[in-house]
Amino acid sequence: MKWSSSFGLRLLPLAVLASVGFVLACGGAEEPAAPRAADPAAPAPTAASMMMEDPAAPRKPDQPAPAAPAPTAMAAMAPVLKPTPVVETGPIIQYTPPDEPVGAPKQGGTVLWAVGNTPSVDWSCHTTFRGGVSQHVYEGFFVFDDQRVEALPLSLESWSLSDDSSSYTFTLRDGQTFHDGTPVESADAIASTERWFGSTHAIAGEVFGLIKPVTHEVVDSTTYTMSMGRPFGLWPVYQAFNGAWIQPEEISNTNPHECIDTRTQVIGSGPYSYIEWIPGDRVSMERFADYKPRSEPANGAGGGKIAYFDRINAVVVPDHSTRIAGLKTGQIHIVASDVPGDFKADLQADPDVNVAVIGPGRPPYLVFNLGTKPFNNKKARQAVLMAADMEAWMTAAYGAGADWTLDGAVFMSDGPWATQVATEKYYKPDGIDLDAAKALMAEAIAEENYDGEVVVLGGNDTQFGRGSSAFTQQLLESLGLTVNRPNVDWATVIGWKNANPEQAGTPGVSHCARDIKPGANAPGDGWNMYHTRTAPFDPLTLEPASINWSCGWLVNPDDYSIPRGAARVEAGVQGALQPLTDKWLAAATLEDARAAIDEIQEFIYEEVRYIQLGATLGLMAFRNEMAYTPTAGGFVLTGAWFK
Amino acid sequence: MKEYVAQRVLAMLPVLLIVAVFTFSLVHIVPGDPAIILAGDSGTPEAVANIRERMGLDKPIYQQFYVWLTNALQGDLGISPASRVPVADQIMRRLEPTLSIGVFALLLSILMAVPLGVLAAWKQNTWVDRLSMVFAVLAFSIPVFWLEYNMIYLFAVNLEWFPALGYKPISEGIGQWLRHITLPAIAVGIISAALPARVTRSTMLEILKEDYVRTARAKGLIERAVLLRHALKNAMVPILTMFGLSLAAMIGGLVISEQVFAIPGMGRLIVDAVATRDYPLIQGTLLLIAVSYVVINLLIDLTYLYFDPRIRY
Amino acid sequence: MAQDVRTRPAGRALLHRRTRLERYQDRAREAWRVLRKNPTMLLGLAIVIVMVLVALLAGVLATHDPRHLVPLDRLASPSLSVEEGSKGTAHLFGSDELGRDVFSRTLFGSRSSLQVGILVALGTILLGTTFGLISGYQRALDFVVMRIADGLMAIPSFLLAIALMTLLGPSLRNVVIALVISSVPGTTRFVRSIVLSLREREFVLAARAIGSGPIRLLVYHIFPNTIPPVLVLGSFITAGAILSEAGLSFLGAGLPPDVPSWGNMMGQGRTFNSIAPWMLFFPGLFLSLTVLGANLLGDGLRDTLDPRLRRLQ
Repeated sequence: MKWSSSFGLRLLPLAVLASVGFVLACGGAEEPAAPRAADPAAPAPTAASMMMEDPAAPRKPDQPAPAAPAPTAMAAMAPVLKPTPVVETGPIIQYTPPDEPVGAPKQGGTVLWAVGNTPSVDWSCHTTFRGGVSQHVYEGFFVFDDQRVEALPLSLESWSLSDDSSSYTFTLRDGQTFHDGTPVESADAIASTERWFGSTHAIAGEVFGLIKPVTHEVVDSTTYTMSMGRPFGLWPVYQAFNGAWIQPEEISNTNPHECIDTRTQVIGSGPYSYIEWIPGDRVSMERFADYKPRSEPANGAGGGKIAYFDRINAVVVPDHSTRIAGLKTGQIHIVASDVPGDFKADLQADPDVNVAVIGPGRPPYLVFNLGTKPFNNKKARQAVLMAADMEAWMTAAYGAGADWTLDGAVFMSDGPWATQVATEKYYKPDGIDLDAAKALMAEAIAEENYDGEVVVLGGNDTQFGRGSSAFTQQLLESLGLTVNRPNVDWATVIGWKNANPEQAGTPGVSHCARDIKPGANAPGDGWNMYHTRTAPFDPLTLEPASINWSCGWLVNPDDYSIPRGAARVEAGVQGALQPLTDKWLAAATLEDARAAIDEIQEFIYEEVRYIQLGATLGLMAFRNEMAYTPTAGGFVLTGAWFK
Repeated sequence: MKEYVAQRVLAMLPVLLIVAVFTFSLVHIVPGDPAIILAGDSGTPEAVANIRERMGLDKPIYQQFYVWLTNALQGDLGISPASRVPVADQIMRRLEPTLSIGVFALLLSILMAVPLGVLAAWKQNTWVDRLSMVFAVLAFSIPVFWLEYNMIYLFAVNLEWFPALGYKPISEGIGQWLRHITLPAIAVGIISAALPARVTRSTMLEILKEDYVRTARAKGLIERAVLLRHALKNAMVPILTMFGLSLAAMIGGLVISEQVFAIPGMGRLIVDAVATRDYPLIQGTLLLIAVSYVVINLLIDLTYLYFDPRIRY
Repeated sequence: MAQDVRTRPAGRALLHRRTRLERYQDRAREAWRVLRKNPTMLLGLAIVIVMVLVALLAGVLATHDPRHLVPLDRLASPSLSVEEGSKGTAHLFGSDELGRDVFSRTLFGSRSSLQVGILVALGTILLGTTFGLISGYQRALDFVVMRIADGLMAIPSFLLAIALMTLLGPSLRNVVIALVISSVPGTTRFVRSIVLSLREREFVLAARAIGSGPIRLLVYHIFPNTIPPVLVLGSFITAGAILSEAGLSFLGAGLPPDVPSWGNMMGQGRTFNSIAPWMLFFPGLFLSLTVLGANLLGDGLRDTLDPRLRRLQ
């Protein structure tokens, strides 16, 4: 045998030993054994002082919010409920149009619009359907104006609310046709509304629960009535916010929980007709020649929607940096939302690209599961809020502050309902008292006799989920807790928080109380808190929309099943909040309402059933060759053209 | 010759059967009811029942496999739960970009690897040799996405020679099509040229020492003829085999590149399918890629007949 | 090799009986001579040793806790000095989107990468050698083992790993399992081919002639001779596994995103490549260097241990 092979022979045990030794020496790769710095918050300036110093932050905690304008949609409403809930009157559009003249509009061209993942083409079976493709293919009942204040009728010629506010009469615009050529009639509108009631959306369920029983009646081919079980003046606003789109009757009558067939059933009456969806690649639409725009000028997502582009291609580009590179090189014309704030300066420096900040976005929340230790104890939740550096938390979740602001007002500081009561717990003007927070947490742990690991959920597939939950982990660890943050994507988070082994498969029920299994890493193992972005505080449900789907509002400590949607409203599970809600609903004047809201906000900051991390805006960017005016009313490409 | 071809084709069948069994068993290895898994996260009870019936999931497992296989052989690879688009349709739409880049990359890697290897062997132990082998080792060691992001930064964003992303079908003009596939094809080509270049060099080194090469030189043939006609042709069998093997690495590279360049090809399809746990789609793409990989290697085997006439089985 | 005889231990043993220490010195001198003759191998060995040291000493060398978030200090560019008013020590390689120190994460990243590389190599060699020995020596089992290997090899290994990761879910253990499964078939085939050639060699025939049983033959005569080539293969498998792990993590199908691994860091850093290129650059550099080191070491081992293995790439 040659010496070289004996050399090899000797090397083998050596190599094996060395490798095994190495692997052992490094220990688990998933737990690097470096010391953790204990205090994440200390070196940071306080949130409030930052707010005052930062000229870019439009919302200041001590600045009175502007009064609410009187929305026309609300003009006819009875004094049952207060005006429009989604009032965002602040500087929600930051955009300086370019100086050069844009010229006269002209038809033609294919606009390439980059989206992060495949836009949903079925508004009923996905949770984020508003905007995007639906806005072009379908015609809704109501949409928002350019300030996102007023609900404008879109497919309706006119509408009226009866004197007792419990019945609407709707008249559809004449001459509307679906893309398959059939006329749009009352029966289609009614079927679409009923599909909306049955859809998976929280708001639809809440509204239906409140106003049922609902009966529709056809008056003629374009006129119909809708009678409700109680007075309700907010219908147009909720429709504009997250409402139904009109589909042919036979498509609307299919199961709303099951997606429609994307090859044959995507038929709307909007300005663009659907061509095809190539999953993971693009959704293509072309101008619908028979679309008859409204006569009034375009306004937000409504008014006269005139299609100039021949084709719209919603191109799926999953990677932010590729999307931005495409925008800079002209392969993409527009990125309509979720441009990371970090890229704002980079894009603004490019003469071929326009950047606009539009709002409001979906505010982020940390939601506690009130059914598990130690967060069933109010003190534990208060301790988390007390120790949190909100600015660092928002930065971890969203990056540089181009597309978010700090905001402790649960109704959002730029709305008419903004109040700063109790927000010192959010802004912490005197700095963070970590020792006091630790002491409070220790108290809660002692009271609950708690010894375990806290399961924190956040979708690791988004920057928001990764960043916010990583920060939460560090925050909880600084309070002396042991944290388990399973590696899951957002879809799994939803499945996990709704997992209910006792009632597997029953839609509409979450199960909150579950002893958390040590090393929990699968749905059904229990959880303590999760991170979500959802609709801003909603006066109808008095909480962010997704929170009533979870375990943020337990009433009966023995029954942790949370009824969802309609059943929830019926059960009155707002519990301790209910009297405050009633007081607000009964308020006759703005002052009375404000007083009630003060109490509500005080209650929310005392109970800390969830933590609102801040307010978000959306960052959009588009090429100079497009003549386009950003609007807060909702993203729509009608009214834009190539110069 | 016919016998050889028939033998190779027959030898391929058991391999394909194993591939089919593996792909089929993917959904059965996962804990849980295959019907619920196939129906996806938003699957309704009706959809689950439908799948159970269509795939015969209440029957014994070998019958299920039979049903699945006969369906697959007829081009029915199932239906994606999310989009409800048949898997076969989705795959057909994604073939063009992947094939374009794959073929272009293969071409580039042959054009890089073979001359480089021949040159290195010819100029053995000179700086040419060392440089080309440094290239080969480097190309073998760099992650393809790292290379690509640097290429995008340089050639697309700064120099603006090539588009940064996307794909234009060949039907919309050859120029545009080429511009879009160039960057990813170069990157994947470089990565998959490394091993063939090394094999070319080592095989050529061996052959250049053979008697017949010495004879060819002695009889006064010009060096190019010696290298190409005598040496390279005889080196082609191991070189081609290596290209066949590095095709696997190339497919891996394509999967990643399509993600980097946002190209709607098979690679993106499979990554999206993994992200959405779209099992019918995962099965379908795996099956198709494996089958084409086997077939391509069979075709390479058959070219040996040309390069090495001694092969007769 | 003729001039080597002078320094060979066997030659000197004739002159006087050597002490144990002298024997070690001889061996070290031998190794050094081999290395000196092969500078690229020396380079590879140096890189690997440095990387192993980096991994072992990451806790000492790191300037920051690799997981500690300082959101307000995010995307800081690389710097050597502590700027006035900034928090903590300087970020040598900058900081990432959550204000974590890229230098410290890169150091800790070497642990995941090397662990994956080494565990995959060990697992693959263990299983591959076992199956290869059995298959090469037992005709009956050979058919079954080889058909399964063919089937698995027909699925490009990166795709196979992606598919397996879908089933298993992201974790270090699962990445190792997936990569071992996808690289065992090739190793099995390789070991089998060596066994096939060895079993016809004189010393094996001789051993059989004096009545050695099959187990004895395999363990004492054939197995030791497979070690040098398998060792060479091991270093290439390590290099390949490190690259594959990075690719998987980059696509989000590898290690959990919190684990500081080079693939993860690059996968998350790609978003910020245009404004914070250091997030992608440094982990990529370390990854490429490590893989390069393992490949150079493998090349060198191959040339040293057995020149006949030149074809083994």
